[in-house]
Amino acid sequence: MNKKNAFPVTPSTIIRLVLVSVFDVAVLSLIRQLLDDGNYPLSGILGVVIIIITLCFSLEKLRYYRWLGVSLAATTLFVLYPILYTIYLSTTNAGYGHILTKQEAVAFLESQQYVPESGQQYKWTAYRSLESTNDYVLWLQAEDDATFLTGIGTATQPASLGDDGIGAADDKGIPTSIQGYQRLEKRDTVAMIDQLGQLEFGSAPDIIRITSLTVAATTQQRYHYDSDGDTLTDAETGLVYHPDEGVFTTDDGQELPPGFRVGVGLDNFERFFASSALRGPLVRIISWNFAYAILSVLCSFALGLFIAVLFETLPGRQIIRALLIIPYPIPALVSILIWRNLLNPDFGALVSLQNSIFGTAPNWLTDPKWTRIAIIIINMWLSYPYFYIVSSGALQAIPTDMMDAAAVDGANAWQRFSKITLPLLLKIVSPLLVASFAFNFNNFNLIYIFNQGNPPIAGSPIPAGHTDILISFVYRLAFNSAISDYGLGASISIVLFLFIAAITWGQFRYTRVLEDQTV
Amino acid sequence: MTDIQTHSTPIATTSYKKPNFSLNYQQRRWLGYIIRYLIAAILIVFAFVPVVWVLSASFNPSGSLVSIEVIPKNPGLGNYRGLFENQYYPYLTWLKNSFVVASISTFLSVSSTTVSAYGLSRFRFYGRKTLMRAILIISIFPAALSIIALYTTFQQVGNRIGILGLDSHASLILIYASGALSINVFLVKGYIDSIPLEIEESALVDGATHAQIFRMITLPLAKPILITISVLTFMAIYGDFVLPRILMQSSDKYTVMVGLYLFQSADYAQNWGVFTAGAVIAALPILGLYMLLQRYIIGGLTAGAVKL
Amino acid sequence: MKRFVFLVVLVVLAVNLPLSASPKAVAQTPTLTIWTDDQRLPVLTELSKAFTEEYGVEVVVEPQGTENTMNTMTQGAATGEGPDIFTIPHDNMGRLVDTGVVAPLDLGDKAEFFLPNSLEAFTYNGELYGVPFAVENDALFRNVDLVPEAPKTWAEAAEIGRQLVDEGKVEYAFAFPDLGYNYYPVYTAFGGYVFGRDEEGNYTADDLGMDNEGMVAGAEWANSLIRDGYASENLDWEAAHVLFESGQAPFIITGPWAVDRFKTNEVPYAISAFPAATEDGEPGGPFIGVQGFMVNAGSENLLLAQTYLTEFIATDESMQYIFDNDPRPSAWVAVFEATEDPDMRGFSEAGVTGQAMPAIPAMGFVWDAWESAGLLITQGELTPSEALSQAAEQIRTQITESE
Repeated sequence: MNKKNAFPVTPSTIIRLVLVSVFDVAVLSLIRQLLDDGNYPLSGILGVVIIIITLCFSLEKLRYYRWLGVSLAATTLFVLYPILYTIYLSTTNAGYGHILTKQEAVAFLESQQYVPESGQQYKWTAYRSLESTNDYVLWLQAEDDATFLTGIGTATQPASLGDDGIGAADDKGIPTSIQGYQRLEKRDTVAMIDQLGQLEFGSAPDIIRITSLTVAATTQQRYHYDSDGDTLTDAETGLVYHPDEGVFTTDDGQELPPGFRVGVGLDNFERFFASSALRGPLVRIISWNFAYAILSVLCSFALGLFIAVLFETLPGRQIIRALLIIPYPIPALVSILIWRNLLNPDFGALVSLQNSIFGTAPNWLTDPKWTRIAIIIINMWLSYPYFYIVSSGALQAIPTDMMDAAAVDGANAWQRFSKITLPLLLKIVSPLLVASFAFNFNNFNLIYIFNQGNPPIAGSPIPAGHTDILISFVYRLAFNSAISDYGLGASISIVLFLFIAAITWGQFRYTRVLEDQTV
Repeated sequence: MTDIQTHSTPIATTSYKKPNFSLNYQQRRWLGYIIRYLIAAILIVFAFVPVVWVLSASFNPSGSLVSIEVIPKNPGLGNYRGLFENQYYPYLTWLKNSFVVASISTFLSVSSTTVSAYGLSRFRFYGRKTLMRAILIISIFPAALSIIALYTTFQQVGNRIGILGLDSHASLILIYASGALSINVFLVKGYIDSIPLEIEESALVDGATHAQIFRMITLPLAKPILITISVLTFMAIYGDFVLPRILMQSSDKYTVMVGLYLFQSADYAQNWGVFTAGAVIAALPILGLYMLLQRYIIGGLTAGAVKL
Repeated sequence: MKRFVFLVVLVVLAVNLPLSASPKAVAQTPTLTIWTDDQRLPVLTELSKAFTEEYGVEVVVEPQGTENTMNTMTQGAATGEGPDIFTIPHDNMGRLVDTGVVAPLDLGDKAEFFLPNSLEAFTYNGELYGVPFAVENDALFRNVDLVPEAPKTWAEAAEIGRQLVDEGKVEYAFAFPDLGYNYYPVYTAFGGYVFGRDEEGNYTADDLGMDNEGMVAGAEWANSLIRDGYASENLDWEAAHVLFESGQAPFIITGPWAVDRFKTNEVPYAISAFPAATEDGEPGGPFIGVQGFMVNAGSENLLLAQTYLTEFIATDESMQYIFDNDPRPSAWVAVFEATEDPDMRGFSEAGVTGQAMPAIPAMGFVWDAWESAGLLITQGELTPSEALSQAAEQIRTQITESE
């Protein structure tokens, strides 16, 4: 308890604790609201966020974590939670037709109304109370021309023109006013129609609702969910539905949309491992994914380094550098789309240039090999300036006396470069290479914008392309096609992540990213 | 095999060791320059082809992707006029949105990156290494489906707090700002690692708190890397179109990249002329910013790399 | 530690303060949101100003396009996202109804003002789900400078094209935007189809024709042109249109959306009905797509959205306005019959042999697989019969899995 004296309560401590409390209160009230919605996962993760923030900023033992508290909380919420969510999705049948949770599906179905056979349809006219803006009455005209008057929560009464309190009729036979109420003109009726549609006129069980601009009807709730038997009954047809694989289904197989998502255990993983047809394209996609990431990094780095070395001592290198890094600040979306156009087989400027020089040009968008080459070239164009800058900085950091000594020993330029400069340089930039690898491994933009993963792979059970990488393939599976199979997409993401993580983990061991210069 | 090797090696060495160039040192130097300038010229052409193309296309009135001529036949500002006068596609609003979102996100993201990097650099605590590894591993997760989680999260939150829901810039900013614990942390941490501890220690002795040291000493010294990271982060957010495409739903909330993507992915007409004009205008501020801060960026990147 | 306990107590106390969990207040004047495509955006924006004028309800029109609209509707609409109203080609209806995200509509006595087949296209399980406004289909466009007379058979068309290429007058014999939707008239001329019909005349997913002989024969026609270098190996919607409008290809199969750009580019075009496979064969027929408005079932402005369609869109003035500003054959009888535009007449004639696009949910699986097959054929990676049976396989797998 002596420690207490070492950390006196200062104004900054108080400010900190007040800020933490304010944050906690705000988030807790959000959690409470989310719990009302039955939203447990998000509430849970927000709870974790609160715990992180509160512990970091109040426990003296965790004072060093204060520096990381906010980042950690944000990462938990927006990076980690989505990953956990992906894991959750992989164990469900989420996807087309199974988007909602069961709770949401039941709520949706229970909100539906129908007009029972005993129900009546009317033409209606609304009148607003002169005193209260929330009180209305309806003048109803049944199909047999009988007329009624009904209000909110009051029984529907037969009424006719000339009755007490009912004003003169207009040319359509509808009263222009009702005592205490003012008739709504069409303009107002249209603007307010959904407000009116939420009101329940008449008294139970003959509740009258407005169902369209002209029609009001006695409606009843169509579906009733019985949570004990886990059944859903259609009051109109009398059919009884049981949940079956995420859809309410009758015994003879009639399905009632919308479906909902249910846990399917490891089914998605099984589907993935059992489908040999799926594995074929996947093996291609994985190997291309690695080749793409590695080649992109190596080629860009090689070009950047080449430029850095070549122009290191060249007069006018500032101007050359300013010109050469021009690709870097241009937004990638723009650059990639321009490249796609330059390489268009019919109209691309570069293609016609190639045609006029060589008489022929590769099919940059349709030939699998050339599309891949195009992607690597574009990625080189996008990122060599970065490596150029980094390499030239690193070159300056290499002590010149080592070079001089080597030169004295009779080593030629190439030997000096490969034996001394390159190893030192690699040591310096290897963390950046790893970072660049990680970035390119999931470089969705380039693949998707350039050719959407095309050209297609022949013989794949699900459309897949020769330039698809994992993330673009999963995207295709989940969003870009009619399949929308989140479950399968999620399980593929996870299997592949484990695989890549293992490989990347190995890579880290050889880099200095995790080492510290000062200990 | 061995025979050939023993025969060929000496020949090779003799012919290479004494190159029979009748050029003196001066001439060789000039030749070297000429070759290098030639290479530079080729590379500059490589770098500029797309830039020249997009500029030329943006002044080409034809508006389709057939614009092979470098200098259009009758250049005009029609595409630019089309861009600004189109009342259905509020290009200037998109540009403004992009700047607002990218500026605020960059500020938040870089702030928390820097604070975190300082913590990772200066203190040794339980779980530090694990944390750093976790940051790296998480960054390679193929997060295609994370979009679903983010979408539903903001939808659910938005049902309760409207300004934090889908179609709000706040949602974008929160996500971008939370990217703080990424590879950037390592760049900044590496830089801070290289700032000598002695200065801080003497300050500690004088009774300064770590927060004060961070503010008064570390931050000013880390300025180059902070500028670099800021510009890089800004560029990355400015250039993103996946997140805003999915989270933003009304066209006056779009960022400029979403808008540009819209121009060329429409159902019926890909308007290349307007797209290229829009692309040029969208790229200009970034290019300007980059040119303006080029010195710092190069300094920061090289230093960040060397000191990592 | 004490400080932590203090904090926890504080927070627990604070949380129990009655903070208002304000439920979304119903807006006094609602705003209608409509999603549509790039071509309808200006039309609907301008048109809706009259609605705002009349009823004081603001209408926001957003350019979202079919793909994004479908994604949002099938994935987010059930939880309250998406527009109040959207326009969509009718073939997407099955998927939308199947996911329960669109509301049925009642046109009342206005139904008689619509072309019956356009209403039929938006009818599913006996309920009407869309208000149609245009009926569109492809036609054969030819460059009249190069081809004065419309060909009678596909073989003749290919022959004319080849000759023009050999004479150096054009780059390609034919421009193909795709080998799917915009190639359907060729498939059908050779006897191909996508989905067959059951006894009651409804499309059924049980009869998938994707890999039948007619489809293969149809694909062979394009394949032989491509393999001989008379058509591009690059299948690109935009590039194909540019090929035609720049006079580099004498033929293209496309729809009303392209008329405007062809006029702008001053290419001398003529529209005609489709050739047949043989001299005495039946001419091929295009898919007939009906464009219509649908209403999001989860919309907070459901009744207003329905009112907008029944009171405002389903009127002579609105339908005429839509037709005038985005000319495609109208689904509104009065406008359709008054049309004298020769292009629109041409489309209607080409559509005589057409068939409504299937709107069953399985149609959603067709497009991607079909597109892939088209690319594989043009690239020479697979023969037409291999590519189409692969597509059929992909579609069948997905149909089975979705059941």
